[in-house]
Amino acid sequence: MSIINTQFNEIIPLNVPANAEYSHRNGSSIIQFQIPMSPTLLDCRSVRLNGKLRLNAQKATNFNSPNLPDNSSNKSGALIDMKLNSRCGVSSLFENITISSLGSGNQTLESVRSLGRLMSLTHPLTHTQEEYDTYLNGSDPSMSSKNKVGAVCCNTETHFSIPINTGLLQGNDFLPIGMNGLRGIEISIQLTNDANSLISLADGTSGQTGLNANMFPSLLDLSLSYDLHHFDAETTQKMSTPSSGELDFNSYAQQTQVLNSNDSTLTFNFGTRKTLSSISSFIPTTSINNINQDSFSTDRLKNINAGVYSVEADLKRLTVSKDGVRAPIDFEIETDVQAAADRPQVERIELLKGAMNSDENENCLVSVNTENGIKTKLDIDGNEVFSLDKTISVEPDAKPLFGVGINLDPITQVGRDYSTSTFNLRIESGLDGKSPIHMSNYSLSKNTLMYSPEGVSVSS
Amino acid sequence: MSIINTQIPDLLKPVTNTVMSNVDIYTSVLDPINKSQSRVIFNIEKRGILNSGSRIQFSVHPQALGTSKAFLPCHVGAGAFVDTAILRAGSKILAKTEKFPLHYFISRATQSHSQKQNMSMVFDGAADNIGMSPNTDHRMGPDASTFKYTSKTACTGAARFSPVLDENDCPVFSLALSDLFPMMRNLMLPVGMMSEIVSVELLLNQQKTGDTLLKTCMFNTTAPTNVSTKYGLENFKMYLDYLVYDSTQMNKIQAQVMSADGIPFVYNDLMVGSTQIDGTTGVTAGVVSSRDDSREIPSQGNRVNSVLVFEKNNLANPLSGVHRSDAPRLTPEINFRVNDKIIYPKAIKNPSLMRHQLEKVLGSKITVSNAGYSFDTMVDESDPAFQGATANPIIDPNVTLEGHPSNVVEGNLFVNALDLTKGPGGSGTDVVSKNILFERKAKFCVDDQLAREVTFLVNYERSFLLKNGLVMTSA
Repeated sequence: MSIINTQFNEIIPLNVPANAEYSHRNGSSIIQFQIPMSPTLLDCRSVRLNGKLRLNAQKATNFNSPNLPDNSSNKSGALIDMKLNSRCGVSSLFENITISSLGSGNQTLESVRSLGRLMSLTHPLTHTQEEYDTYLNGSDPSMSSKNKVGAVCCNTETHFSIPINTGLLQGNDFLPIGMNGLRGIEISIQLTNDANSLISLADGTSGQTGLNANMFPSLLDLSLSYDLHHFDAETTQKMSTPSSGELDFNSYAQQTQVLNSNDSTLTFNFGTRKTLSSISSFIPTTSINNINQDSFSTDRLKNINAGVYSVEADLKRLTVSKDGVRAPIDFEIETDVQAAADRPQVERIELLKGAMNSDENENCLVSVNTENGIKTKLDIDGNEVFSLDKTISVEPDAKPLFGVGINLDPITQVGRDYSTSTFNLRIESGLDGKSPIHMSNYSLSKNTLMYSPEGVSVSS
Repeated sequence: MSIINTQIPDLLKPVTNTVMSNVDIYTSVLDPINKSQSRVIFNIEKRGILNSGSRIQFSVHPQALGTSKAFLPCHVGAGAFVDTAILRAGSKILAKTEKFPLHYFISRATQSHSQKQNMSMVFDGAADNIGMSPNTDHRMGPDASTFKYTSKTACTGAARFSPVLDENDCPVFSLALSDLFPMMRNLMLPVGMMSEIVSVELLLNQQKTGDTLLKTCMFNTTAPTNVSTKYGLENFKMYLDYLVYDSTQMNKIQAQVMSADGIPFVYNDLMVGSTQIDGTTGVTAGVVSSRDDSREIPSQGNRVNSVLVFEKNNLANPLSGVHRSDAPRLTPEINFRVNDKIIYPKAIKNPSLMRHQLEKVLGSKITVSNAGYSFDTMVDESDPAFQGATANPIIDPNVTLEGHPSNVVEGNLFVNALDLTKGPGGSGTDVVSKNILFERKAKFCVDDQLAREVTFLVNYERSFLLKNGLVMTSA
């Protein structure tokens, strides 16, 4: 079996709207791509969603002269504050990504809801400040270790070329898309609503009102690019002849819960046999779909005071169990003392990194700076050594990366069976019962795709 | 980008062994057999296996300095000194790297900031890390952990890397053989088993009085009237390590060299092509004028792994010198034709996708911000006035580096690339009937109507046979 050619492919969506502009505001929020069946191997690492990001302060009368933001008045104009979460960038626009096999009536392989929430937690666990400010910023200008820099980069209409961070495409190097494989792939992306993806503090600035309601992001000139490896004639012939076989792939699934008491036991039914990890993030319910808030924030648990989530509700203890029996760790994760003293919650952070298999990896944004607001580059007097202006930090935004994660099978990586079992998470915290917190949990599991002359089926 | 044949003995591959035993390392310090301001030649002793991490040392000296401070070009440092590097066995050329600074420039772009700062800068004196600006909280600037800030708007590089007049008490810089020759990244030559003398010849870049496009040495704002430089001839040295394993191992390699098959392998070498693309005139504000150009890339008859495309305008750059690849204000559309086949179904114009193609060829991410690669985030194409990069500055123009606005490094790394390998780690593509064609649609605006010099670095496969002590190579 030898590869005789590697071919670059670029396809446009099946449903191109007017001006090739996709936006929730204009009613064109579904983007569909089809990678046709061919006796080749798809190079998963090469799959990229390409296009232009346009943040519209309001709908323009002339499509070619958009009303763009002026974050931080960087263009020397009046401040128009409008940005995306800089830790997940353009992916925060995706409400739902569904990947299906074209064989057997579009068998769904993976469907990830709110990709931005997942990425705002997982990306900082696997990327450093330098990586955020170099190649992540290079492929998606709205990403940066500092939200203000990511925002300024969106003051113009900017191009992006991003990987699609789903379990299927990130967990495999190659996928056969021929008769003996997926038989082609359909990728369907649904955009989230504008208030959810955008962050703006424009209303109220300089006494202005009504600006936020007109803002919307749009994606233009979208395409999907990918490399296909073509084989010699003999192998191609074999790949074209229907036969039976199977291949493993990973997928994420999202579950949501609401946390609203100081001692909650949350129960999830993953329904998957080979479950690899579970990772959760939390956000005040009023921050979702709220343009005045960052809907992809990974802040700590907070209680409401005077209508605002502003009072820290310390996480005290975590317990993970399966069907009520503690597993995979049989001890409680104590964070009470560290949380109360505002110290790094080392145990929780270690397990969180473990959920991404990055516990030994130093490539991480998490530090005492992000978690506790303590600068890491200090002189003997405690001043940040590399910034001569104390009001301007050269370090990443001091925004916590608060989440709960657990690697369910760190040893064999086969995965733990939750097909008929429940995953239980007991969270003891300082929540006061009057401050509902939305919890997004993402379970990563291994699935098996079976193909035969009769068709394609998936077992989880 | 690797040695393809697996017939090379493991001992000739530069890998990090967990256990190092039964090996003697002999170190030599060689003086060149021939040295001048334009050329230097070293003959390598016939002993054991040549460690590809062996290094060549240089120093460069301004002819006049006055009150000004000299520093090396920020992206390449000492890589700026070498124009062409040639590795010979007897009279046969094993490897030739022309326009070496461009090759070194792109290799360095894949290093992490930490690697550049803590490893490479020590050898090559280059510093170009960009981080967050300590002056403006929404912009980038010279990295505060790499450069010394004297105020929040002014920073400099380390004084210890500044070239001086004195040829004795001066900083010296070095480049490894594996930097100079791509083939030596994956191979250590068994020079002790080669009949012919192996030599390294370096043709050196020159910087003369009156030059405005600086090559070897930059100056801060108070540049001397005479910008010429010279090399410290007495400082040219080659620090060599020869590895000699125990006799069993060495005899095994010797036997393979003397066998009927010898040691054959395929390695990568570089071929260079240059061309110009005309500018235009008379484009007014709010107008975009475009023009299609196509250029041939020297490649016919070779098995090509990749092509890198560098382009540069004729403006002076006080931090990078001539060692850069300038992004046009408006990103051009590019495509390639190989064996009469179009590579991209539609010409690519998305700089982030261009960058991804480059990273595929390099096999690694480039540690350069969006603003370092293109003007995409700085120029608003929908703005009829085309205010250029000043419309939305990302790298803080108010922060000076060595007295120069730091934003002159914006768009310095606009390199396009074409990957022609067949699958991961596969061989290259045979370019059969005609040269690869590079197609480029330039977009001119009021801010950028300049002509460009385009350079192609073609990475192609050559075959090598070491048999009975003699070396044979393909063209």
